[in-house]
Amino acid sequence: MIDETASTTDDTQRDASIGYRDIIRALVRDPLVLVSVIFLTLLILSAIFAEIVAPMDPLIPNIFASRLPPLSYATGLDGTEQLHLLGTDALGRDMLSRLIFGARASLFVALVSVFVSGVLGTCLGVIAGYYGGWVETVVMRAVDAFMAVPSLLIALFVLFIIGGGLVNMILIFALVRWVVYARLARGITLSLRETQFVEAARAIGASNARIMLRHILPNMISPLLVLATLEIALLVLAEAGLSFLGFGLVPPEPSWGLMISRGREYMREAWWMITLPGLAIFLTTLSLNLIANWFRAVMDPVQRWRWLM
Amino acid sequence: MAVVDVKADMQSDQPVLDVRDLKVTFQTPRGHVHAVNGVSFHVEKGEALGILGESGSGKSVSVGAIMGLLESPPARIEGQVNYRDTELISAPASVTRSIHGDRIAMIYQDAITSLNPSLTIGNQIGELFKVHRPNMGRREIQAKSIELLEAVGIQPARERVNSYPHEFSGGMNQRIMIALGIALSPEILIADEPTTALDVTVQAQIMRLLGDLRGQIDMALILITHDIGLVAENTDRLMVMYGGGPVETGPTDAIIERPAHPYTIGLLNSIPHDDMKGKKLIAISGSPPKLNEMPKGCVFAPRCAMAKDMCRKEIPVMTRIAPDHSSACHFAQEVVDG
Amino acid sequence: MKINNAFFAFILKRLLNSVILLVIVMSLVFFANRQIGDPARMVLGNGASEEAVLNLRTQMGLEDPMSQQYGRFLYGLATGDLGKTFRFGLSDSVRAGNDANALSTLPIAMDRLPATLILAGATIIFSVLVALPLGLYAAARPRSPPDRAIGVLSLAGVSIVEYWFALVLVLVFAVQFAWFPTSGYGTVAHVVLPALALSLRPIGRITQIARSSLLDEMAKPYITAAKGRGIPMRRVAAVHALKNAAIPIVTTIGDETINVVTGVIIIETIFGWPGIGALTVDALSIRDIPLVEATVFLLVLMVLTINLLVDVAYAFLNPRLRIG
Repeated sequence: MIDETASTTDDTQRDASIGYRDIIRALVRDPLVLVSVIFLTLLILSAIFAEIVAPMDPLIPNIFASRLPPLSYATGLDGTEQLHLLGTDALGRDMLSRLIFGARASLFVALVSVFVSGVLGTCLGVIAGYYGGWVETVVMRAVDAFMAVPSLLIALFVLFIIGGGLVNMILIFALVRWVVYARLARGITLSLRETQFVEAARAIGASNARIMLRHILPNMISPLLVLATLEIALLVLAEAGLSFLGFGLVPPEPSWGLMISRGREYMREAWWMITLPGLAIFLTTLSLNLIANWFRAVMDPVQRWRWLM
Repeated sequence: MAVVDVKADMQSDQPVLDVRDLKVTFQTPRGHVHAVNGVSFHVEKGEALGILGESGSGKSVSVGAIMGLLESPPARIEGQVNYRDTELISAPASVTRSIHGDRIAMIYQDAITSLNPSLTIGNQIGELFKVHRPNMGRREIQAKSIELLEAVGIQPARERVNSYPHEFSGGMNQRIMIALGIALSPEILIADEPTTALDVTVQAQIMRLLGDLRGQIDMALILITHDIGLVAENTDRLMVMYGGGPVETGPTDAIIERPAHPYTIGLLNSIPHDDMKGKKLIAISGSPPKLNEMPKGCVFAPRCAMAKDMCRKEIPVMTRIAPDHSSACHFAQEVVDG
Repeated sequence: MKINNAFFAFILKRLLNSVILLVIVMSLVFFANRQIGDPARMVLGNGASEEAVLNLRTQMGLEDPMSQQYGRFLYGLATGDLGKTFRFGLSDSVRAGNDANALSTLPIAMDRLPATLILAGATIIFSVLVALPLGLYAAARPRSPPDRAIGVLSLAGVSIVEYWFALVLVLVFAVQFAWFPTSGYGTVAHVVLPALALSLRPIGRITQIARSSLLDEMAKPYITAAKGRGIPMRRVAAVHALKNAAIPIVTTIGDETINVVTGVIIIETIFGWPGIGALTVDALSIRDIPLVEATVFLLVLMVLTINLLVDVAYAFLNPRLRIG
């Protein structure tokens, strides 16, 4: 029924492009999403400016202040009294500082991987959908093959062969995740290829590259953004899993996954060592998922009006 | 918007369906949209009423309200829809459910999407009997379903009853829709653009089938379309709608012979027609109004070649130009006189 | 129900695809594994003499041309022989000419299969039982407070780090309250915590899909038409909409089963669950290459089987495929 009422009564909303003001208005009306946006903004800022934001050095141990619960004071290495807002880990390193630097590692891996796989997958998907033929066959066969085997399993195995670390992880994530963008981009390209505006562009002699870049690509920005947001969340989780198993980032690099892994040994005595990094991941991925979900609804012409009301 | 009182045109016996001052408003982010703005009409037993209008004229929303198909919110429905002694807008769902599909049935524009893709057509026809005639046995339902498919020209019905919609052509699916519509011998069949999605030859077949069936079960027809040729050939009376309300009502022949609203003339001129020779040509330029940006005076004024200052200020009311022929134009008489 | 050749052709094609994919994956695994050092040296240790290593390499067939080794590997794949484990002192048994079946990796890995199947099965059954009613309940009242709450909770389910949640569960229910054992295998109580930890993500995803696909179907013209025929709402939802919504729901259940099969790798390690996942991690950490190949083989086989089952279910649910 939604379809019928929308089409028969109000074409205006269907065509109306959505402005920044609409988005901000909708955002204010959805407090949970607003909180998520603020949280992620703060998180990204503190990850970028970790050296300034973090109260202490995340790597220098202080054996006299080991495993302090949150809100503890301890004498630092320079002899001054220091507040450990979120406690310390087994080596007396400040949890809050480690979480901030951990955010940098975790988000960096996820964001760069998503960027690389997104660009790669979108290009291949658009090209496959636009040209068709053997190019499409090859690309889609590869997509099917990668889709059939779980990404985490491939990542685990390849990291076992080539070893962990930041760069290898990004490469692996890009290798296994480009397929989701390729599938989406190809689908949209196929639906756009025969539309009038693409035909028109072709008729006036626009080059293939220009049609793909100027006419097809802009039409898939919203769904790609939604997908990329979901993928960031997925990769933050994957990084944590692989680092936990010892196939991901390498200590003493503070990553959230490694912090949980280390905290497991002291699980019974120092709950905060394992709880806090897990919560950090949870809040980050939950925020990303909430935003993606909301953005998808706002961008959906059928659902949009409900969210703008 | 004018409220049309077609009641005066009423014949001696009570109409089967009597719609009075129907208004449908949709709540949207950008304010309220008046999709239907005071529509009144009635349907006599066995007659064929045409509702003619472009998309956005409010014709489909009107029947949506009659059939209880509008989701509320966002829709707000006011006015009355009387089926014999039952007022359908205020009646509880249990009451309207027993009327919809049984006494008032509807067939839809796009048959293939209006049939459930994963149920056989036999299942879908049988369901109607199961729900509305709970006393019927399984065998009886099966026999009746096959009989219905035969009646709408699907052969061999005994085998095809177990087929799925995707196994039929568009025209065949429309026949199945019709079978669903007439299954319980309704008093009124509402057909919303029943032939728009079909080839011209198939269109004629479908309309002929509908005509034949109406003769057999004495069923009134409400034919909703944008195609003036279709209503000309298949209806007794006509209501022309524009911008959410009626602009002209009357016997179909009278309206086509002597249109009394510039919009109707525009529609008539949009198809080449021998009878129109010598008539003044008034082409409709522009596009239908956006329902949330209604013009102040007459809704048609912005597109009307005859519009005067008055048309942009005052909303015209339905005025009678013949005993049962009315037009919502300030200059109705002048339009008729040409 | 009419089932014709198109259905079988479809399934057969999928089956063939799966077999080809399995061979490709295993070949990649084979070549990748040959790049990470000398298996003979791994077996004998760093102290072994060059002569002993060469001797063992010859015995293991590592001195043969690569094509010959690959051929042997493919033959082994076809006959279910994926080599012998390094772990239990392969060198000794090779020297003794001992060809005990106990050393074959595939049977070792197969022994672990039931445990993984129990865990994955319990997880998925539990998830579906929770998620379907939740999703349908939410879909029945879109945008209501309960629907929004279910929406946020299902997002929370897919946002959590499974193994972290597992550890929290252990901390609370095994350590603090001692209601369940911290780890191990054998009783129903042992399954509860690992299955619970694994089920959050599938519950979240299946709930979301059940809700959205039912709502999508409810917005389609055939639903409007059914309502217009006076069919009661409940029947419209349960008979008309659900039947069509089932296709994406089943697909998602399949996807999530696959995710669970991957998820067991970490969860089994945490709970000391004697399944394929834990064995995979063990084999990887001691670089027991034939054993890695066997566990990867079984994991991929499980995934492909699930994919195939989903395809069969899909073909059954979609009359367009069932009847050509």
